[in-house]
Amino acid sequence: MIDRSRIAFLGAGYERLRVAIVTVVGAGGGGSHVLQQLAHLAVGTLVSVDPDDLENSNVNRVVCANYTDIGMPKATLLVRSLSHLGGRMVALRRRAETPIARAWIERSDLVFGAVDGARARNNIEQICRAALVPYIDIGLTILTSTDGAVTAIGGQIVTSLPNGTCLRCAGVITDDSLAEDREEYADSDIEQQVISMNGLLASQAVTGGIALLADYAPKFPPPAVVRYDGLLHEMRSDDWLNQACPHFPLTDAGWTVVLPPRKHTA
Amino acid sequence: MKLVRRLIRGALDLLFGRENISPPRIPRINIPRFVLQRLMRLTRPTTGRVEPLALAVVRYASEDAQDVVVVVDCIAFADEAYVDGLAGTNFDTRWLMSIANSRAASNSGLLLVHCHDGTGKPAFSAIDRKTNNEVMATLAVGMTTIPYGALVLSSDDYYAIVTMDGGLTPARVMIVPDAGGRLDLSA
Repeated sequence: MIDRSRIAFLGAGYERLRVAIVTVVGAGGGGSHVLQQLAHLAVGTLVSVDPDDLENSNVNRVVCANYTDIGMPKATLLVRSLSHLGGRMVALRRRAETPIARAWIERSDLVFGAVDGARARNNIEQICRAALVPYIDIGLTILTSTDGAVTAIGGQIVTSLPNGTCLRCAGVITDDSLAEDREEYADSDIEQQVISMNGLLASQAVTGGIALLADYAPKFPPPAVVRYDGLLHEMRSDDWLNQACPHFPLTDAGWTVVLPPRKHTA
Repeated sequence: MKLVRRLIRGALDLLFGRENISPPRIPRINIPRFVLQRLMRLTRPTTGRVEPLALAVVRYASEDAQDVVVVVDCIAFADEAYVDGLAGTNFDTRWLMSIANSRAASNSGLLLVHCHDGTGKPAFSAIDRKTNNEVMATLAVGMTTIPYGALVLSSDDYYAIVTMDGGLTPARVMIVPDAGGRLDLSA
């Protein structure tokens, strides 16, 4: 049973965490950190969604993983490791767009996304926006030159809320990035990632998520966008004040595509 | 090797029982916080109207999520929609039906919203329940893709029912954090 003495500042918000459903899409470098922290907070129901199995190259950044776990579904691995912390945990070895994963996302109180590629991000955000579920996306990119020198380390946490800044507003998704995104991500260059930076972004994302769910400081909501520059060791928030999202108007939320309905008559 | 992996995976799934678990289907209504605040303002008693009414425009979250209702807009009752009556607030159902018809074209249903005095969990009165059953439930007849229902507010809590499986069912009201507080929507 969780000792609440050190999280007493959450007040009644702790009860909201205890009954919340939180889905984490992606169980790699970022998602595993998010899931671990939420499990320690004893969030009511935690759902881990990831279609992939653990590979040798993942072990250096997926928390809870070790070399004997190679070949095991990442989602199952994390749930197995964290299930003793108290809350209910569900592992889905599936993509976010599959019916069962989508069903969980639509019934969640909060969704985290730590996935590769613009297309996957776009799909998760669309499901969340339609169901009016807050979505927090994290991403990290490390660029190197041909001789291996680090040229840029950039990351972002985008808190995509109904009526607020979305991934397109934040520049994370563009038409070009969607067009360039290839399903066969494995064919592309090996993406550089490091556990410490993944953890930094994940911790900030979870902190923002707790603020939303527990609502302990409603006057200070998490910023819409937090940008991370790993070379400058800097995290900076862009609140995008007074910019209503033109891509997901609230009036378009929900199930809108239908056949002409029958008319009501008096 | 693949067979071994599959066997281990199957054993784990069996052990933990965590694959193919569907989420609980508990009716819920997701209301962005700023929409709820607007509904509270619209239904607050005024000098001319003791119990003003409003409508919340709602949809199912998706074709497969008909237990998740999202509130996408709200509408104040027009002055001409109120009619004189013996008790409480009376309204012209033809006005309500015209709104229902216009909104049905975008797959949107309606929740009838009003406010009760005081704090704590509100409840529908006998007159409210009669209206809900005779008007709101009737709107839902034959409209399987569109939710209807009612929402009652107090100054700090709420209670709602929505149509589900042919009848009105109590639903959990979820206040969704939104960017409304950050954005200046008055411009």
